[in-house]
Amino acid sequence: MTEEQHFLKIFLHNKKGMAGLIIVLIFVAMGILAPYVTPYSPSYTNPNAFLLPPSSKHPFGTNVLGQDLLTLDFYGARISLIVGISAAAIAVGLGLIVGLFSGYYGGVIDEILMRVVDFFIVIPALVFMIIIAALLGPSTVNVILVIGMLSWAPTARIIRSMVLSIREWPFVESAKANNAGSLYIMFRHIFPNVSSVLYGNAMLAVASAIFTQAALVFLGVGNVTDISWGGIIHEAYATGALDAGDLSYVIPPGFFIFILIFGFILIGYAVEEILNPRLRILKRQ
Amino acid sequence: MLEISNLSIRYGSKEGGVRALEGVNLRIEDGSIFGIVGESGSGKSTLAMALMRLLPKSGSVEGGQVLLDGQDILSMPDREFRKLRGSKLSLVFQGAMNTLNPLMRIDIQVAEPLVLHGMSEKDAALQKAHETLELVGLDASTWRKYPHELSGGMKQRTVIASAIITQPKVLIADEPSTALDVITQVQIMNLLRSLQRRLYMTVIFISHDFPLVSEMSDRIAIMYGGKLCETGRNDQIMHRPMHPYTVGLINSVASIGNKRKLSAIPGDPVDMRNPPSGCRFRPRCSGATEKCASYGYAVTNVESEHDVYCTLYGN
Repeated sequence: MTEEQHFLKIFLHNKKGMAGLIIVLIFVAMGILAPYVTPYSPSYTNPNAFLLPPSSKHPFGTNVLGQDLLTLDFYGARISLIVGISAAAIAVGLGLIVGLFSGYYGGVIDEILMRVVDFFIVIPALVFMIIIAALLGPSTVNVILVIGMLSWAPTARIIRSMVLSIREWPFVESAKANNAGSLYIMFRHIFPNVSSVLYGNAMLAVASAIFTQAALVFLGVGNVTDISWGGIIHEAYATGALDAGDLSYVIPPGFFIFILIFGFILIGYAVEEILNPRLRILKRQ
Repeated sequence: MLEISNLSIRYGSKEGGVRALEGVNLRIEDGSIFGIVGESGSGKSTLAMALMRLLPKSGSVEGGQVLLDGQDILSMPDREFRKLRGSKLSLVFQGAMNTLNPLMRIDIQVAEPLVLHGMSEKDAALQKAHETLELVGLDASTWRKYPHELSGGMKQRTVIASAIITQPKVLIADEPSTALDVITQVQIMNLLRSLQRRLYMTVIFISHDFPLVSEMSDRIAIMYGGKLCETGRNDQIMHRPMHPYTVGLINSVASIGNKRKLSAIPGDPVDMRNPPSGCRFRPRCSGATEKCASYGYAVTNVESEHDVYCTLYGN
């Protein structure tokens, strides 16, 4: 059995992980299959059927332009997943690199990098994101970059603290004696030893990025022409539908955001549990 | 030929630091096993790390030379030395069982030096790693395992395989058998000796275990407090020990069946931050005289190849 098969076998027996995976897969299917399963085209507008309450024709009602909300909610899964995963990849990648360098080299490099991390941990990220996103202009790529660039600091700190202890293990010295360079030691020897935490962390980063993206779009930052859950809630708010008590407008996208985030968090816990055998043993006792 | 002349190593600053090694002179012939014996803090491991140029940041070479085939390995540029480290000059670490990465298959780890030195492609290196693991007595069922799946002795064999895969000229084995049980220890020693003959390596065998060193080595050096006490051929050291410390060491070794009373060397190991003047063994030495307090560590050649650093013999 290869390691991958072994991992899969344990994962399949992990209830939390499976629940999370199923949730995420449902949303992935929703995003991919949206054109085939939704009753309307997302661009179809009907001025005569705006702000309809839920009915058999429109299960979640329609928006101000008369677009079917169920259709939009399905298409909205795409942006959430794309932004969530890409932004988390940037954040975790940056955090990993900064953490590895900081922890491995120590000294002045560590000092400088950690003060940068302090800065990014202390600044109110959402406010900062709004400003930068506004400066960069509205586009999905910009939202991804902004979220990624502003949420790597916690990962960097966690990885650094682990590297600080791992770099003192004898196998690192032994790798040096085998003529391994610093980069090789960092990525080939130390990285696998921090990966359990990194992968778990990455899932949580996806969850957090999905939420941040929704929040940004809700606040009117980012690309409002893309169909996204945050955008739908923003629209409901901006057009007064929320005040009018039109709950079918906001509850489905809000619920989807919540459930999708929950799914990623479950996977995150499961991955960490599986990759760190000590956690598994603790649970069994 | 490895020639160490007048090597001195210091940890920490000039004022507050510790001189871990002082004026060490050794000549190590090609294809021989050279044993270095000493208690904790005698500078054995410092010597090993200095030869590999892997001293911690606080450590610095104060003086002296190490010539490997006439090339000074301490003063050559880093880039030059890196070609030697792990290829011509290999190290089996103290507590070698912890020197394996827990998350890497052992054959990949054994192949690592070859890949890192660009000596062969990955597949060929892995092939060579399997051959080398076979050579150290690990069969095919273990090649793809992870360190935690192996016993202590198997891990030790793996570490040795990774050290010899580049066919080094000099293999430094720093306490290669500590933490192993006696039977495994003997197996590892036999393995090292057979590999040494087969690959015609020079082995520098560092240990606090005097009987083991005498079992293994062609020539032996005894160290105390960062300085040499006595060097000589195995038979000279074992049968005609000269230095009081060597004599004390030999008398403190237990042997099965021999009901002779064991004698310990009185006193504590030398405080390296505040070493005594003159001979460092002086406070514990039964034969110490006033002369020892101002002793300048001149070597006395008592017979051919047998050197003693003691006032009892000459100056």
